[in-house]
Amino acid sequence: MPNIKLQSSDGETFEVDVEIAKCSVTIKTMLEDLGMDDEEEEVVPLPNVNSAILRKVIQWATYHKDDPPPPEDDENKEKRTDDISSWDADFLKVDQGTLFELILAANYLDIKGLLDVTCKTVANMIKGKAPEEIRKTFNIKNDFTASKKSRFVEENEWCEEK
Amino acid sequence: MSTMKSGGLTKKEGKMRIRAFPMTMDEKYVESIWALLKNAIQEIQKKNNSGLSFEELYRNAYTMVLHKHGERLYTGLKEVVTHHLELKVREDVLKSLHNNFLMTLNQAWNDHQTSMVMIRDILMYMDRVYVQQNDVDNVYNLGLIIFRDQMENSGVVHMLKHQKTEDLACMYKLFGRVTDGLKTIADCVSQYLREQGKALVQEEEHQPATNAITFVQSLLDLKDGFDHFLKNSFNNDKIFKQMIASDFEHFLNLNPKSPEYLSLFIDDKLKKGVKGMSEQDIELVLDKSMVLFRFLQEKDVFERYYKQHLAKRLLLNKSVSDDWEKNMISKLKTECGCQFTSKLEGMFKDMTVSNTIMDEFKEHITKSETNLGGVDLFMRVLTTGFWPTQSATPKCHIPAVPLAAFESFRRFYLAKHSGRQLTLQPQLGNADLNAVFYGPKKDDSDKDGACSSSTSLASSRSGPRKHIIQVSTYQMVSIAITCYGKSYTKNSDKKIPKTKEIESSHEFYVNDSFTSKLHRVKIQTVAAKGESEPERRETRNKVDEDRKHEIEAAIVRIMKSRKRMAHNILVTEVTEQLKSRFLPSPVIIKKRIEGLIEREYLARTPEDRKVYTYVA
Repeated sequence: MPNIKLQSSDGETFEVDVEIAKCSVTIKTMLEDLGMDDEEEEVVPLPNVNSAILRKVIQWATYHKDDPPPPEDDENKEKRTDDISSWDADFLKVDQGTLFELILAANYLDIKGLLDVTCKTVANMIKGKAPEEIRKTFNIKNDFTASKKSRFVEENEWCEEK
Repeated sequence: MSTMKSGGLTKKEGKMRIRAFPMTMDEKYVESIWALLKNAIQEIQKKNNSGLSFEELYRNAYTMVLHKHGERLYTGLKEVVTHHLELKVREDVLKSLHNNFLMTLNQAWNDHQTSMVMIRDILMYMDRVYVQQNDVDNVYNLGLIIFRDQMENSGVVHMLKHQKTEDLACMYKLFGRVTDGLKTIADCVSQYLREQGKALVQEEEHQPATNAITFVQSLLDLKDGFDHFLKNSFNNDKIFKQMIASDFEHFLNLNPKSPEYLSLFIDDKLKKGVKGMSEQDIELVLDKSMVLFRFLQEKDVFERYYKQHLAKRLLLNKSVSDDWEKNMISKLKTECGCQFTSKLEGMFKDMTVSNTIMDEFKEHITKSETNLGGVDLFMRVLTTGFWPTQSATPKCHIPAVPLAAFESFRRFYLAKHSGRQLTLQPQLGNADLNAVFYGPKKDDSDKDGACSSSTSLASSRSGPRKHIIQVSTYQMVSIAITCYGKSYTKNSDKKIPKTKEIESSHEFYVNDSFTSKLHRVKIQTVAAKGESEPERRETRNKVDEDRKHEIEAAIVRIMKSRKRMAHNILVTEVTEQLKSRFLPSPVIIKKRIEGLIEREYLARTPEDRKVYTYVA
């Protein structure tokens, strides 16, 4: 099966099966537009993604290469965060920095499955925590003044109902 | 789910700060990104895409959208595409207008599609994210829309305006091979047609004196024109046919006077317009009018006006041919059912029956030797339900002699049909006056109320006729206005003071210098080419009243058979039933339902307020 070369921001090149690479819609479009399906010598530059992350992405895509295509997002269906497979859960036992970089990469490369699972992971980190706890978890600076906060709480009361 | 803290790293090193996500981007940076993308898009349009890096462009578009500059990107895209089409493509296409036009257009269309696909691909992130969030057209559709808009000033409209039927036919065939090609032409034609139609219809609104006849005639001409295109250029394509129909329906109903004008048009044809036309021509014109009738949403308004106009035609003997009248009624019957036409047919029956009665009356007089005082009486008996009602029977003092003649008729009629009531309607009749002036005898054909003047005119010369005015105020108003309406050569009475309105202090003089070639002069109420505004409002009120009743009747009918129904379904059913006459608004239906609940025809179910039951 034909391969394609992907190059990370820090110059490292990864050779990947074309079919696996195509789980990224961005790469798929790129290849189709440029008629590169048969080209074996071309390198696809990805200046947005460093080698560590790219390696992880390729690892995930390789494992999930036989997955059925993800269904269209049904707006009305409530989204769940408790359906992450154990392999994915293990795969995502990484530091926060890496996790967020994976989200950005999945977003850029348009890999729905990876984007979904990484976002769900972060959602689970947020769920059930009080604001101060969340700040602690993600090391977020509190820049809300007291008045802003009370107004914000008012406006978003509806979220609390569930 | 386990809490994901800072993984396996020690707290000191591992506590990474989440980089504050760069929310704002340097304006210059955004500018430069956009410049890059704009240039790329233009290169693609120029078919110079080989030197471009997909990844770079995709990444830049991605970055822009990520940093909340999606709108800038979208607007910019629109501008670039429009600009390109306007400048480059339109120029090329117009240049080739008389020569290779279609090939050029086709080429331009194909190029446009190809470049739009490529542009869409590099802007895919924007399509995915910005477009969805802001509910705008995606990149490809946007491209289609802009192309179609540009076409307005290019070939299609030009061809339509200059009747280039064959060219349009070629274009139709060519575009048939391209996806969405036909739809693009259809949209363009539709837009042009709607503009033309709207202009016609709204021109009328701004010029109060427009002739109803020309209004309808120009609409018929427009329809003819487009039917011609439909047949000869568009191969009777169903899409085009439906589109033309819906366009006509759209702008015909923009003008609330359309039903009235259509009725006036048909009225004109059935009065005098039919003379000199062959049978086929008449049939054709009436059929075409029916086509327009089908497009009307307010068919009940049309019915009301048609009744009024028919009544006038029948009573004033203006109808050219009874056969064509009946023909028209049967067309309406086919379209709308018997309910629509039963009253119209009733009117015809009344006319025939009246004629029979008059014959019998004449016999009766001759036999019984009754003296009608020199009055040649001709009565028509109208059944109240069939004929359009007048707002109020105006007061009119009939002078003694004609009144006596009427009484003998009344006795005769009531003897034949006991239990009926006869009421004289003076404004619907007319009277022929024989007036003796100085010089040859002249006949003044007047409406009833004025016949009182016959005696006085004949008896003295000049001098004010004050008493004319005292006798019949209503009719004199109409006559005086008519006198002013016509030119002074036709006036038989001069008026002091010379104002249009008449009040009881006004005086009339006999105009001795009046001459007329005709032995019989008709003085009528000014024939209304259309109703005046207050009359129109009154008609509109009557229509609304009728509609209220029709809606209630429909509601009761439906509830009686179904016994129980939810509100929304009931509204839909009622609208379905009535839509062949008019389009009821859900708000009004709701009000009628509430009215019926009050009057205990319906009730709300206790468990669900939105479900009704029929109360027997």
